Formats: sequence, structure tokens, C-alpha cells
Amino acid sequence: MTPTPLLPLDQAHNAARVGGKAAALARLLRQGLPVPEGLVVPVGTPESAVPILVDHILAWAEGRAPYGLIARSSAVAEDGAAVSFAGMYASRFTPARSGPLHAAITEVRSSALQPTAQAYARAHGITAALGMAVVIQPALRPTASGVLAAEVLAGRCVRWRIEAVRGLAEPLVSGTQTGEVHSGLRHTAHPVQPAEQRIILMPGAPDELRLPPGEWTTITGVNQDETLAKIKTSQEGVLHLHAPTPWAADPVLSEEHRLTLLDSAVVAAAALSLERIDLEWAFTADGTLHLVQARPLTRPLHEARATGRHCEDGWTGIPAVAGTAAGPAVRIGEGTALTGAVLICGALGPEAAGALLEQPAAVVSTTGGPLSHTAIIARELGIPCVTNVKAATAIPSARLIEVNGTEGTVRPVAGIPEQRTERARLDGAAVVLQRLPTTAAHDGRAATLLLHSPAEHHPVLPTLTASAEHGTVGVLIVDEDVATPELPGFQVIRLKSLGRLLWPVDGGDVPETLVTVDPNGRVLHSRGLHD
Amino acid sequence: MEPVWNGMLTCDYERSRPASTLLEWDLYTTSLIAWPRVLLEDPTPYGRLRRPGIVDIDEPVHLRLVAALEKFLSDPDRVRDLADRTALHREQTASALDQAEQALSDRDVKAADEAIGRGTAAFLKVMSAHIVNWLLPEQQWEDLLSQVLSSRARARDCTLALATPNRTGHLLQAHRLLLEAAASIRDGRPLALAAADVSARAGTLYGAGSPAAAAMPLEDPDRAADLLRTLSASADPESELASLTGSLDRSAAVREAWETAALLAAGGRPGQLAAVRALSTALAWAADSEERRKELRHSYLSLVRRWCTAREHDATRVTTPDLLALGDGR
Repeated sequence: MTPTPLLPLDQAHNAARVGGKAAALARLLRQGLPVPEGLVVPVGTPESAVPILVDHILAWAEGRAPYGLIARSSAVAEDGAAVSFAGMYASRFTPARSGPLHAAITEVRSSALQPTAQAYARAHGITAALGMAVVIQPALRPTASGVLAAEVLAGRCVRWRIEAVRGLAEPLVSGTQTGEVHSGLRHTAHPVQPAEQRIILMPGAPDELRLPPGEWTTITGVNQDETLAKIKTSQEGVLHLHAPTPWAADPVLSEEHRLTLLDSAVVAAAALSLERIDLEWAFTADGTLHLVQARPLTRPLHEARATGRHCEDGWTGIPAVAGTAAGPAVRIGEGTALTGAVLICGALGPEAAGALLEQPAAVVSTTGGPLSHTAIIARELGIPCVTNVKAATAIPSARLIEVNGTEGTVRPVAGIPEQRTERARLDGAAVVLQRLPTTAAHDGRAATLLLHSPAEHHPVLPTLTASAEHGTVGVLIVDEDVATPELPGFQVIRLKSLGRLLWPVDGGDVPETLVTVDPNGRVLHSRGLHD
Repeated sequence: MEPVWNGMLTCDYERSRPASTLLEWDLYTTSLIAWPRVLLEDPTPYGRLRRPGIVDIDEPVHLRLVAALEKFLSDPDRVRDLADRTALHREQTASALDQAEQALSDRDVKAADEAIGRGTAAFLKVMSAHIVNWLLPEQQWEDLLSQVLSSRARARDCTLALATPNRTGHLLQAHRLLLEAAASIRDGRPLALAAADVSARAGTLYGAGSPAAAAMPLEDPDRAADLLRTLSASADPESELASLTGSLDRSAAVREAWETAALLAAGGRPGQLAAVRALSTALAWAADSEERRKELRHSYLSLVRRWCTAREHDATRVTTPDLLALGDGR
């Protein structure tokens, strides 16, 4: 083979040539830390040389990459002490084949030109061209992976936070799923916050990547326990698996894993001469730890924002019943009164109907959509509701929460806001209805207009008796192709852009404003007679 | 529905309904594949069965049929026709189930077989409406109402209110039956009679899971009697009934008020007016479909399970083709 500019990762010393990520990983390798082997396509490699490099990489990958390869950015300015460029550049999984590998390298290299990366650089005073190297490594198939941020002092982590998910860390880093959180200060480990993970991402073997959604594949857990997982989809060499139900209650990391990670953080921080370190890591099925990225922690740990959605941010689901209400979270069977509380539930059965008649303030369901049975019963009972809030299982009972059924949001609140009823003044307006109520409303309206239905589900012609009880009553016909009914004592008034009005001959002036109101007297819509 | 993979979508009931029997999966997959024929009278199958519980749909077919559904649901006359046809399918199912129930009670095997065959054919059409859970053009409706009502929030409130069933949903309906039975016991009706009535009319709905392989708790009149005894002794069924009725009246009034608001807002623009009428009817149809389908599904599955017992079949292995072959339904 002809010589190539490719560098083995353990020889990637010169950060100006191999980028910050590769240089840091090379230093860890030299300290004997568990970094996966790799090759580096250096900064400035001409595009014309890439096809030859691809051949060399594929020859090197033979027998090393059962789950394909990963091409990772390693920009010169990346992973520095002041700026990290975290999330600015691309990483791509790729099958160990010529075309896809070439495309992955090109894509990673061109991510240096991304407007967001360039804007980030300018914002941090970096004006030089953003040189980009590419690290190529065999794709790991992790049982668990994640991030670790630690402050290291005198050979120990004095403040630390680990976030872990099963499989690849991408959903954690991108914030689409919430990882299991381990954190601590000096000798004290705080209680572990469980993960909220419904989908597991893993690089797939070629045979697995050919399987359609709905098929099963075997995956290994952190305790080397094998189970079947259903394929949701696969793309770009990565399987998206539905998290197996039996694993839902199991922790992602054991205490032993945590200690291993903290020990490695100490050694990595020393190798990189750092006091605050940010590591990305992965455990594979044989229990081996792999460090896949190490960089300075560019902000104090106590400011480090957790990835994913957490309680403080609230939760989103599917809007199911309009309205906003707040109250303490309760669950059926806890023995707590539901009146004025927010019921957290799954799919409801008829057993729950009695509880709902206790008039909870709102309902939050972990499943379903706007036509689910839970949504429909809440709608029938006029209770604001949000469905499909998967994370609602984590909302502690008695926590005060506010539910916005129109927006589909649930968020913690410090107190219960006062409920306001927006009963509008109707003076001078005509209220449009589909049928006359049994009792007349005394809300200041000038008239009532019955909306004529072409389907004649509601034959709405008023009678003299009705008019006597309800004040002035007319008929509004908004459909052009409906014949005008004959109604003695009524005149036909053609409206400019709303159809026709049957108005009592002795009805006086027609109100200029038409409104519809809900049973609370809230105006739902208002328009001018000639709008 | 899983995302598009290699130009194909997958509907995986094996995952969403893991505890189902073959018959339950069959009801879902067969009716899914047939929904264009049943709802739109379009003979194109919506995908193909990969194995029990899993249907694969080519993306172009999916896109074409979803677009056809959206267009169909924008025509108020066609939506009303669809609602009428769906109601007819439900009546046909209920009638066949009643006849099968009677035949089982009379130990008339031939009549029971024939009625179950007919009931299966009718119920598969009812089941086709289960696509309302993910194929309705909800976003387009919300966009239209946002334009009509000049507010995204009001459009969403309106859409949600319009998705109220015309007839009381099955959860409240079952509870109302229970309360009425409890009240009737306080008025002197014999407990056993009230319990038998509740068991027959709502017994399949109470409890977790479905009655496909095992009976639901209140299918047993003695269990229903226990519940009614407690309810009539400790609760105030009359006031709870009054509260329930008040809530239902109020939700119907809210629905009607939002429908009126949308029609008033669309007035003067015939295209928008027709679209509002259509979506209003379609949303009520969808909500009614879901509620009535659940009641019928549980009644049907319970009946087939008891028929299997009588005929010494395994209720977990029986399929829709087996049952369609019994009658004229195939």
C-alpha cells in the first residue's frame, strides 16, 4: 500500500494537525486509559486524497468493525479550555463500505462550515479558519453510555454528575431523552434519578439493519443479561429499538460502574492536566469501559444543565380537553381526595368514572390521544386534560402542577393560581345559538339568533311564544344554497357577507354585533353583522 | 405506526397490544387493511399482512389513501353518509351478537355459528374506524379553524370540544348503568336482577385487559352483585347520577357552542363553511366510533370466547377466517 496521511490515533500528538478531540484521546491512550483505537484523517487532507484513504481505512477496519465505523469531528479549536464546540460538528455512523464511508468523512469535514459552528466561533473570538480532522473508530455497541462532568481535586472527584442511558448516548446528548442521573459532592452520593428512556439506539450489524420495523433482535444489558428488543426503525447504520419492558425498572448503572467512571475521570483529568473534566464514555457487553471523548469542562459543574427534560421544565403531551387548572398530583388508590387535585393516570376504565365525578381539577394521562377513552370521559365531564405524558409517572404525588389542556403542557407551580371566569358583557349584541334553551338567559343580550341548519337536525324556526320568553328572536341563514323559510311576521334582511337574516317585522334595529358564548358566558367568537 | 423505513410504514399491534390473542390481532390487521374499502369505498388494500399482528404499508399507497381520506372528510355530505354507514355496521354487529347470544343460550349450535359469522363480518367493518386514532387530518383541521377563528388556541379548543361523542362515552355509560342499578336496588328492585342486568350490559367493560381469553370480573353476576351491594349501601347514586347528567349536558352545550362559533366565523365563505360542517361531523363520528367500538369489541370477544368454550375450540387460537367461514360473512 502507498503511504497515506492517515495517522493512528495513538500517534495523534499535534492538535493543529489532528484536532482537539483526537489529540486529547491520544493523550489518554498514552496513559493507558481505555480509548477505542482509531485512525485520523488530518486537517487539510485534500478531497482528492479521500478515496485512497477510504481504501486504507476499510483495510484497517477488516475484522475490527462488526457494527460499522464512526466518523467523528476533531476540529482544531474543538474541546479547548475555553470553548468546547460541543454539538456544533457532525459525527456519523457508517457501514464499513466505500461509498457510505466516503460520504461520512465528507459530511464531517464539511460540518466545519456549518453556519452555527461559524457563529459560535465568532462569538468566542475565533476568526481563523476552522481546520477539521476526522477520527475514524469502530462503532461501539454499548450496553450503556453517557456523559460525566467532574471537578477533580487531590486525586478524587469532589463534585460530579453522571448521566447514563442504555445504548448510544445520542438521545441523551441531543436532549430527546432523559438519562439516569448520578451526582455527588465529596463523599456524598445523591439519590439516583431514574432514566426516562423509551428508545435505545445501537449500531447494528448488517443482518440486523436489513430487518424491518417490528422484528426482534437480541441486545445485552449492563449486567450482561440478554433480551429481545423490537426494532422501531433503523437508519444510517443505527438501530432504534423499543426499550424492553423488563428493563424499565432496572437501573442503567450499578454503583460499581459509577466508581469505575469516577476513577477513570480522575486519571483522565490528570492525563490532560485538568481540574474540571467532561467525559463521554460507554460500557460494552463484556463490561469494558471505553472513553470516547475528553475535554475541559467549560463551565462550573453547578451550572451544568442537565440534558433532557426534567421536572423543573415541565412536560408536554397531547392536548385533550381545553382549559387550565392546577392542583396537587394524585393517583387513584392513594386514598387522597381527588376533588381539586390533578389526577395522574394511565388508560382509564369504567372503575375510574366514580373518581372522576369527584371533580378533579385536571387529568394527566401517560397514554392515549385526543380520541382516547380517557380524553373523552374528561371532555364529557369538562375536566382539562393532557394525554400521552409518558414522564408523568415520575411526577411525585402531592406536587403542585398546572395543566394546560389547550397547549398540552404540565408544569410545576409554587401555588394554585386563582381561577378567573371571563364572563363578557353582551349588551347590545345578538347571541347566535343552534336551539333556544329551555329557560331564557338574562345576560343583557339584545337578541337571540337561531342558526339555521341545512341538514335540519335542528329545526329552529322561532315561535311567537319563544319570542315572548326570550326577547327578540331571529333566524340566521349562513348557507347560500338554502331556501329562505316562510315565516309570518318576519322580514328577510340580506347581509353583506353573512347570508340572510329572518328578523321580526317589529324587531326594531338589528344588533350590529353577533357573538357565540359557551355555557359560562365566555364569548367564543364575535363578528360584525356586515363583516 | 412506525416511521417510514425503506419506503414502507409498519403498523405493529404485536408491540402495541402484546397481550392480545390471535383473534384480536386479526381484527385489527384485517380491518386496517380494509379501511379504504369500508370507509372510502376504495378497493385499494391498505398494506399487507407480514404476520399476525403486523401490517406493512408501502409509503406511496399510504400517502395516496391519507390524501383521499382528507378530501373525503372535507365533504359534509360524504361524512354524514360515512357516519350513517358506520352506525349501520354497528347495528348489524349488535343484532348478530344478540342473535348469537340467544342461540348460545338455546344451545342452537347452527344458529350460533351463523350469527357469529355474520357478526364477525359486520364487526370487522366497525373495527376499520380504528384508524381515526392516527390517520385523521387533525393538523389540517386545526389550521383551517385557526384561519376561521383567527386564533390557534381557540382552534384547538374548538377541535377538542367537537371531538365529543354524540352518545355518552362508554366509561360514563357503564358507570351510569351501575348507578341506575344501585338506585333501583334502593327503590326495591331485587339485587340479583339488577346484578344480572349490569353483568349482561356492561360486565365485559370492567377490569383490565380484554375478555378475549378470560372473562372480565363483572361478567360474573355474583361479582356484579357484590359491587352493587356496596354501591347502593354506601354511596348516593341519585346525586351522582344528577351530577353525571349535568356534566354530560354541559359538555354537549360546549360542543354546540364551539360548533356555532366556527360556523358563524366561517359564514359568508361557502368553502370554509362546508369544511367546518364536515370536520364537525367527522370529529363527532370519530369520537362515537371509538366509544361504540370499544363496547362492541368487548361484547364480541366475550361472546366468541364463550362460543369457543361451547364448541371446544381454543379461544386464544381462533382467527377471523375461522369465524367468517361459519356464516355468510366470508
